[in-house]
Amino acid sequence: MKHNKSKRSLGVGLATLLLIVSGSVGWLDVARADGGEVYALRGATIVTVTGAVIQKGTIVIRKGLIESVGAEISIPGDARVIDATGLTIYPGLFDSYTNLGLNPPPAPPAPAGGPGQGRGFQPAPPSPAESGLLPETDVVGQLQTNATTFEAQRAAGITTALTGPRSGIFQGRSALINLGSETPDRLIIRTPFSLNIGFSSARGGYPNSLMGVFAFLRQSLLDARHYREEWARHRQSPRGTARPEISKSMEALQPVINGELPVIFNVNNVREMKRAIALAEEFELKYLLNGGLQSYQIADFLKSKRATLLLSLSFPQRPAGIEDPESESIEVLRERAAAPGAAAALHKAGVSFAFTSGGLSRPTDYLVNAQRAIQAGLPKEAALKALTINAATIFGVDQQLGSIEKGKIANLVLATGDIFAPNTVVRHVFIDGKKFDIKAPETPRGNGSASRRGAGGGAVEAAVGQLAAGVWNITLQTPGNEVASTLTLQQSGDSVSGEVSTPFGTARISQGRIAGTELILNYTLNFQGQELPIEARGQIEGNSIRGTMGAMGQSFSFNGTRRPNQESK
Amino acid sequence: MMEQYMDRYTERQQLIRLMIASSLLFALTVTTLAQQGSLNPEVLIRNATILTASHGTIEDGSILIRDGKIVAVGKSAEVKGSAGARIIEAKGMYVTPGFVDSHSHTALDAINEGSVSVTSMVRMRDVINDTDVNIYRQLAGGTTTIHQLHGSANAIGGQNSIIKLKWGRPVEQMYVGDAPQTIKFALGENPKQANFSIPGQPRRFPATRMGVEETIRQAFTEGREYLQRWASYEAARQRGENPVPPRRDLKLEAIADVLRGKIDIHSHCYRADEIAMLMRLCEEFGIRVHTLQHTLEGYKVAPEIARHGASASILPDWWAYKMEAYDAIPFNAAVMTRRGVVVSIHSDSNEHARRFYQEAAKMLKYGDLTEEEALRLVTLNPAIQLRLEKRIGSIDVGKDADLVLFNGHPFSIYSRPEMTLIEGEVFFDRKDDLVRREKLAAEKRALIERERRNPSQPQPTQPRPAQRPTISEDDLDGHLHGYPNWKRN
Repeated sequence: MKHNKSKRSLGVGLATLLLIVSGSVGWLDVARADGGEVYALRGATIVTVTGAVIQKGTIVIRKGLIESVGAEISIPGDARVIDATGLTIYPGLFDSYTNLGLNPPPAPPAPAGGPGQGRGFQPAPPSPAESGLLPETDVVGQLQTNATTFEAQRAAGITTALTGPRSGIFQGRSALINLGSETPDRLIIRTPFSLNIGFSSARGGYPNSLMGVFAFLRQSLLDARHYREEWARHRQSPRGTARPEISKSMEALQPVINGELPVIFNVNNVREMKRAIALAEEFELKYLLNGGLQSYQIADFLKSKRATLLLSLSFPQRPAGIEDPESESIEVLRERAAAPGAAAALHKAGVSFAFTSGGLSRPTDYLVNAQRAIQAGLPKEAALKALTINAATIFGVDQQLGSIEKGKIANLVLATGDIFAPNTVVRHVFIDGKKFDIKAPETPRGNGSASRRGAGGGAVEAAVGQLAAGVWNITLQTPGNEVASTLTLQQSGDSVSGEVSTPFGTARISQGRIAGTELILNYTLNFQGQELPIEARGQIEGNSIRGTMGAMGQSFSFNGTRRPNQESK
Repeated sequence: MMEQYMDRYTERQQLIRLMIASSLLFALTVTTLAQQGSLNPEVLIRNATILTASHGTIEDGSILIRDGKIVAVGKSAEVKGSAGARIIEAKGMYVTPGFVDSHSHTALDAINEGSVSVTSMVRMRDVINDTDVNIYRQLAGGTTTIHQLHGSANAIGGQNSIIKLKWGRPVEQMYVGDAPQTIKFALGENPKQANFSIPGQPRRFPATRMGVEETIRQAFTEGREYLQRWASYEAARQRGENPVPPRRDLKLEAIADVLRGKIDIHSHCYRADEIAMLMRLCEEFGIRVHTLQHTLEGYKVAPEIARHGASASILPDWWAYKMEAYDAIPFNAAVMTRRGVVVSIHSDSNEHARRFYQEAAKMLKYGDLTEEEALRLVTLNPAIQLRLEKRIGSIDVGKDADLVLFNGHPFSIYSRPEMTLIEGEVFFDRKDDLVRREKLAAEKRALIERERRNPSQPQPTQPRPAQRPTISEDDLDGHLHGYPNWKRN
């Protein structure tokens, strides 16, 4: 490095020296802006994805890009040579749908219940100030990253991700980012890529039901068309036509209804996918489907619609605490058995897809579950493409990413072998030409694959993330009232089960899961003889949790703490 | 190591066998359907006792079906199929029209948009769950058409949908194409939230019956203004001007369609005073209530209901489960029928929707309806209320062949449906069902066994019981956990 910088000014030299001494993130930025390091990775097996595999090849990285790649590459004199003999180099992997780099959303305030609110024929219309209904929400500006934010993803070989706000109906606009160690502005590759849409209705005010969500979406899109027409007429003849109102939300929907900005629907089951497609067709939207766990059931239909899927590898798992395996319905059992086969079914039908981690709590499970997809019939090459070039193509960045080719961004994964083999470990990744060394996993490697590869090996089950497990004391805030409840939770993988105990009664959790650090619980409380379906969403930080509970169109914030020394298991 | 390998090998073999078996089953089904559908368009049900629901009972009768429609019905001696017809031998059996449920919340992923008091913009057809096992269960009880209603949380609820229970088909094939549009209204305790509040939450308007009336009147008024806005826009266009079209408002569009008679009102109601109120209110706007739902005090204002021109769909013998249900009587159906009201019995329940024949039978006891009048309560009358009486509701030439075959008289407590057809196609056959139970039990055993061997799945917390696994009712049709139903929506 010193050699490289020697001809530059003393100031830069000092800066470089400081960089080496301090290793601080800020100085790294300076170094990168200066051109970054030049690397030559030598002697590796190079899986280029778009071309043939190169044995004992060399990759030269300069200014964050791949300068050259091949078997007969002369190593430039200014390059730092890394002997990668015995390693296999892959393009950096994509996680095609995440909420990475986003802080948990602040708990929305309980809906204002002042006088006048909810009166008259138009009680509580969808107030534009309400979160989750704003198409102008943008992930840029919400991203907060530092040197360690994406450490776990990098360790799993994931170098690029689409990230978007995590909840709401109009969730907001997404960005494609590199999972480096710098500030967001330097990580963003493309934004906005999409407007993300969810059908979740657990919120206060209108809409609070699934059919309300559809009516809301339909009305919003109609309004956007009306807005377009009003403005078109006004621009055509400004004299003589009244000036329409400016609306941020309507502006944000213009590229969507004009087919310029795709929407991503968060959908998993067949009905959700079909509803999303029907809505997209009704309004001629460009769309992608994220999730798609049941897509194997309608692969040919999806092909006929030329749908593109961001396919989740977060397969359903048996919830913990099921005492009698017979108590689960055959449908649930079938789904668990079939989910890993979704990718194979889509591949066979010719549907375009890329993989997402679907919020897997351990990023290393991403490749483990890709292996399960391969075991279920997906060709290995197709799996690799779904992690690399297909994603890049879907995101419109295939000139920059997704394969190891000259001129592309130097996002690389250096692994000890075939990334789909159970014993393979990622040793280094390069992101924008910057090298990251992957520390060995903290838990000693016991019996081969099991320690690194959680979901793949039975031995690890005891050590899986127990983010949610335990007994939680919860305080629910209702206006003028605090309601104390208790959550008793068991966690297995990403599934959460257990019980909610409230002054109004006790309910078993019908569906619970962990997405990142978010806990999502569904249960039905019998309240004064009424079945009251409730969805609770909370962010867990250590032993504390805060979030919202939605029921019957009302939304309350809650917070709570985990009781010490009472790990429920 | 070797053992483990063998285990995995065996497991894979089992899985492959399972898959082959499933695909064979699928292929068989397809073949059967093809034979039933296109190759042999005729089905002949012969030698049965036919309760037509429109023109009495035919002893030793036959029904000829072609392309899903009834083409002949009469004495077996007179009704013959062509050579290739599929014959269903029904000697000793009774045939009724498929039952029509005019008030159902089955096969829906959501029921109430209860956030505001007028939600005419929401549509139940957006949230149909075509995999709800209750479809199959109700089919097994002879129900073939259901009116999927929005809940009763608010004065003006959503737009309802009508489907046929074609279990196994995607929802697009379940819609009844020419069915009219309907909308749910609700009066009384539910929309005013008399029995429901969340601690600390402010009440939503309205909180009284007066407020419910005012909510509906104001909606109608705004709907009328909305129509006028569009009318003036059209008028300006006619004059050759180029006006900006008004904003489309999905909520008011539906209300406007109610005022134009394009959407029928189906209103949840209990008390005589609120029934009278709604009829008066509708007359004020030049429309009528199409069907009153629940209508527990309908007997008190039966002549008024008949004069207004509304029909009534009722709960036959439910009462006293809340304040406004105290005055219900089981003679309600008979009293209103005798006063000239078209009365139907509805389920409002996944459970009751499986036993319409028993619900109807009760009405022989309470008020001396004739057998055919009682049968019409669950067939022809609800069909009339859905404006589908030209298509369904009785066994007549030209109607859809939606039929139920009973092993005895349908009003006997000992009888059960053996087979249910929709548009000439068998969608439930008890014999097939019994065979399928074994197969499903075997499949479930294999799936559980596979998970048990698969280390990537968490283990059950308790050791597996040694006895042969039993299969629960839910599993027979691959039940997805359904949306919890409200009582009396």
